[in-house]
Amino acid sequence: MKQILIIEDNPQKLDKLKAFLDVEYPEIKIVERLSYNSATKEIVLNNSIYDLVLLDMSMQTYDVSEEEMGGDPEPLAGAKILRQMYLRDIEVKVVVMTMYESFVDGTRLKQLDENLQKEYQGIYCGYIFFSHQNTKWQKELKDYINKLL
Amino acid sequence: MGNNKIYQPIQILLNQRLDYKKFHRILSSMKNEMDLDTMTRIVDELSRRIPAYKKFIYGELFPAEAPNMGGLQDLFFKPKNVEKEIGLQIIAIRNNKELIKRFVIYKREFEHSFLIGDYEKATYILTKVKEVLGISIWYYESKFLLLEYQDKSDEKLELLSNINQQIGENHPGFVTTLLHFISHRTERNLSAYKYDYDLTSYFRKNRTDYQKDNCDYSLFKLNFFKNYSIDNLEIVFTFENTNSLVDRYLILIQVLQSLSIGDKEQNLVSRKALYLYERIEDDIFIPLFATNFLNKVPLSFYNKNYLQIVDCYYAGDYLSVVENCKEFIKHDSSCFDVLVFYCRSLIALRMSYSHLTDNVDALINQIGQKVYSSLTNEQDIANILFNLYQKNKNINSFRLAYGLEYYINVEENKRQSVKLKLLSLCHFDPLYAKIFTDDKSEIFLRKGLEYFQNSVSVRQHLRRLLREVTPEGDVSDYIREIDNAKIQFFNEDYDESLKQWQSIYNKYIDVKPIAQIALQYAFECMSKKGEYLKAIKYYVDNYIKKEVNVAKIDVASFMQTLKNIKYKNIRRCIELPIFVGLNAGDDADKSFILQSFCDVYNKTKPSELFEDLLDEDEKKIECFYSVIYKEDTLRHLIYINSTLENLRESQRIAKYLVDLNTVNKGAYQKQLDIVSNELIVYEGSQKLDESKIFANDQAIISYELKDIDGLYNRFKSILKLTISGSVLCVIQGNSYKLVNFDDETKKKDPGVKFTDNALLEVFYSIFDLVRDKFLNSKYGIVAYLSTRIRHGVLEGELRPEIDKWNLILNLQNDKYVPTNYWKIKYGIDDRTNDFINKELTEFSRGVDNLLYSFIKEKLQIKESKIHSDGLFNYDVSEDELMNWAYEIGNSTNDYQECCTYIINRLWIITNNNLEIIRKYVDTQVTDEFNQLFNALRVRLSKSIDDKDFPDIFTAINSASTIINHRLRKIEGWFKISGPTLDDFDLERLLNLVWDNICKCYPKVNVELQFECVKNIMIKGIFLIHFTDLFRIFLDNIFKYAAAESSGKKLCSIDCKLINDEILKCTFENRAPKTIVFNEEIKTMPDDLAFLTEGKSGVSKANKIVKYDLDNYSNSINIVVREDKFIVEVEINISKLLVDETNINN
Repeated sequence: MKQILIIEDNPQKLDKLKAFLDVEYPEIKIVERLSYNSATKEIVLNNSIYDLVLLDMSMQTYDVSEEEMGGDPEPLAGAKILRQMYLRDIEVKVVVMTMYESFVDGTRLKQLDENLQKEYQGIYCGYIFFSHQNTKWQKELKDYINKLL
Repeated sequence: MGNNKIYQPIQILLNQRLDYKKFHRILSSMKNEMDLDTMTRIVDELSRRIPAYKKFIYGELFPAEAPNMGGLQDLFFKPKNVEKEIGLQIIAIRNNKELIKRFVIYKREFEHSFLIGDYEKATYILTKVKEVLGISIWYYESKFLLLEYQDKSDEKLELLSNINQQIGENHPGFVTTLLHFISHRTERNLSAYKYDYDLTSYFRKNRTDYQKDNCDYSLFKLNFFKNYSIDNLEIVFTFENTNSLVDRYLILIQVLQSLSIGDKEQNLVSRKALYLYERIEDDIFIPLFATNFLNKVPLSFYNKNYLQIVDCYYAGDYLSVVENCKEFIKHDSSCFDVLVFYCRSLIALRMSYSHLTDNVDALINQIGQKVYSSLTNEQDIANILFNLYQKNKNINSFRLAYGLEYYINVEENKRQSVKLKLLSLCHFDPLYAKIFTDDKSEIFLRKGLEYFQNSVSVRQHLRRLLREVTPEGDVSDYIREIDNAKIQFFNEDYDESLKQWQSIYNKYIDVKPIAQIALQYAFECMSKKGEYLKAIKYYVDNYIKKEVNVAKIDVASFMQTLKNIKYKNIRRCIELPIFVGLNAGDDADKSFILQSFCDVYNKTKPSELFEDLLDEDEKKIECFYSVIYKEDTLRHLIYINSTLENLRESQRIAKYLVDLNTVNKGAYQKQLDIVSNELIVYEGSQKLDESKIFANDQAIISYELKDIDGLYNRFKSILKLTISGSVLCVIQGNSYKLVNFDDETKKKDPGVKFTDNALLEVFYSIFDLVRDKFLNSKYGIVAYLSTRIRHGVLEGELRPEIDKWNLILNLQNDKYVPTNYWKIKYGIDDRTNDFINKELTEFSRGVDNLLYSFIKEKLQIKESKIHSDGLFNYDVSEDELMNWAYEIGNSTNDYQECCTYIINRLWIITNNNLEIIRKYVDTQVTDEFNQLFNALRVRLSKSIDDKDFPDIFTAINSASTIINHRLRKIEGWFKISGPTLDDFDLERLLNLVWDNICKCYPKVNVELQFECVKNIMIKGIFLIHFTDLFRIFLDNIFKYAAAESSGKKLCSIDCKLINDEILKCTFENRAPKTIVFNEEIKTMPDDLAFLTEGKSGVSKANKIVKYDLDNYSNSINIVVREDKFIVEVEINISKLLVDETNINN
């Protein structure tokens, strides 16, 4: 059974992603991680079980709980996770799914895409711009999944 | 070309009569089309025939007064060719060569007088300059500098104001803008890095291509060393031609230098430099033409006295160097290397710094002293170099500045073109051979030998060039040893070279510059051999021994190598995380290495390694943990899964570092105190808080606002002048002149605006900077707003809720895609389905527009041009800013206090903004949603009967209700969040502090009896003070209390309320044997030195109760009764309580 790891801290976006995947790919098992920290941990410890990672770019450091407010925002957490994968030779394919056109450090999405292509060839497959308003992301995601899995 | 060929162009120009604009348009076009020779003849002939045209062609060459500066008219034409522009400058200079020759002498004399502190002579020279050459930007810069160093900064500001008033806003040229920045650049305590940053952002802000030329010129002119490599140098002259010939001459030199450094037009540069040298005799041109015309270098360049210094240094005759340098400086202070030879010789002689000239305060002495310190000090190097950088900004136009700039960059291990320095060499120096890339180096050196046959330094440079081994006895040992080791290195015999470098290092370990170079090459040898681990260990060992000695190692390239191989095949020993922690830029790399180091011991966190690392060298253990602590690596470790775990791990490490009891114990204790406080605040705060607005103001002050003390001091000076009644006229805001090329039709906007409220202007600069960091830095509000609300979060909270009720349509290619949900589910006909979809499209558009407007227009920082409707409004009226300025000016002593004040005000503004936003959500957004739902309901009901098809109306009602709920939730986001200092319960706080201290001393067995008055709610602002206070006493119990025979320490805490307002806390434990009191009861005096000897912190506690808790009658009594040590703290809490508190309710 194929498995996809979704790394996403926004519950609404996560719900939409899961709902879409449930309908389109019921045979694929979905696992979710909600913060930079828990996602990195999952990737480092259990990467071999995943066939694809859908990766958000900006998220909180820690999973929110009664005891935890989430820590500082990590604007380029996705890039850091990719770096952790690269350093550990983790070769699961990654598609970035973001709602940002530009990031806190001023990097535009296109520029980030080029940087990631260059640095993480073989892992990073591209990005999808997610929006609550439209379903364009669904088609793009479907294309990626059909191509990669 | 014969005379007849220039006749026609001259006639065309003459036909324009005295119409300046037409004349210039044609002249400019000719300049771009014709060859330089023809052009020269045309302007010469024209000036000869009709002298009035001279001014048309050359502008005001030697303005007598400020209003004469800035050019004749506001008209600019774009040049096309740098060679022609240089040529035309040279014509003007040639025609006035005697005056420029005098200027060169004046400038040299002024710089020398200024540097050796003879301000009287420097003032006299400037008076002569004004008489002979009129005024110029250079003149005013020199005047500013002189006033500043004579402690007359008030006069300097008044002079600037005076010039501004004379010139006015509508004057052509750039005088006021240039002088505005130069007045900053000549401030002694200049915020130098900020100057660099401000200048760039000032001119590049909202820059279009059209404004690029403006920006390039300003940066080139005002910050040459940082901006010499611009690509369109011809443009510089267009702007500079509005200034005096003196200024044009100086910028011509810089343009030639820039071309030479960039290896562009080398032949042109040499030819022009030679031409100018032959006419002006300014020796600054010699290094520019010596590359191509070595035989033309004059005899005077081969200065015997200078080379004697170099030779004596090479020969190791340091006493002579010291004497010769002092003698040399008396007459010539423009060669920076003389300072370096001087300082290095003092070091070689193991002598402390002695002044070069009699005037100890002279700038040359100050610079010399700093150079000496930078070569000898082991700590505080960054500050010393920053101070040199500040001074170099002050003397940016001096010849000395080139060498100093290069020196600072080398010491900071930054890459910098050596050519910049070489082009400023005043005398023959074998070092200049480096400028050649071919065999001309040897020719140059052999030429030197013709003049100085016995020169040790020239011979040594020849050996270096030819890679010949240096025999003993010819030069000083260290030069010979280094040069020989370099030969082995360049011959790729890294084993032999390494041996030699290590031997050099061991021999000169205490001579910093030599030790640094030896380590640099030794490290490089190991790296070249692929012995990465050995190199890392070598680095770390030496870093621990003497941090400063590794400063020149090229770690950046080495780190890149490690990254490229993903740190593979490098053993995870303790040195690796230290090295990566110190040198990797990426946190992910640091945490990856740290995690893999922990893996070796089968541990997950660094604190679990305390036992495992016992066999390691203690200094390495300390270094390891201090690096982890400082570098914020813990946040990225996969086994530290929450803020609390992170803080606890930090606390364990800080405590461990304290317990190592090294010389750094004090600093670690401070870190431990900070993290313990953070932990207590975090543990005590409410976590499930929906608030999302935050800015990390402490980080903003610490990291983003470090370098504004210069600006703050300027503010204080202007405040002083304002209070004394002076009215200063300064440039307002970020206004500066913009040039419209080839445009004589449009009405010109002067660009520059003045204000007579200099205080407001300077205070606004500070306020604007703090506000910008508070809002837009990575610790600022926008970062949090962006992640927590704007990007999808808010939209995701609302739109999907409507989607669940199938009332909102999705967008595809900018069109709403109809839904068949209602048709399929309820079997309605196509016509009704189309109607529903038409209405849903309208509704969806309304919702999306509303969300768009709210997120993209309202939830923005208000800015007049792009977000005029932003609800985060940080505009402050001028009146209010003036009030703040006076308040801050009178109540603060340094820039940090000033920043804190402004940030506190910004928080108040934030609170007001948030109130408005909450109200906006509550009214406007809610109303608009309700209207959209109502409109949908009404429109649908026109064609669909509620009774026939109730579900869609039910969906509208349900969605409307849920959206209203969601909006209430969203409203709650707009509050300031974070582990803020909430009001706290005294008993709970004591428990938290107790638990926290217990964790710091896991091996100390303490039994506590605890009684505390209930429901004492203290205001949040006092949380840190109470935390500190309790921690001091509880920590002392754990540390010093005597144990019972069982090993257990018994203690009690009793907190009572007396007379409803005095909180009496009694801490009791068995007295340590070391405390002996003469009397049974001793009241704490204000000066608690006798107790601070034991580092009990009681002195701090006393300060807390009296000053921080704001009541001088509060007290701490220490009592020793029998064998009991009792601390009684009495605090009047009547003003500390939360208003609603009902004590003992």
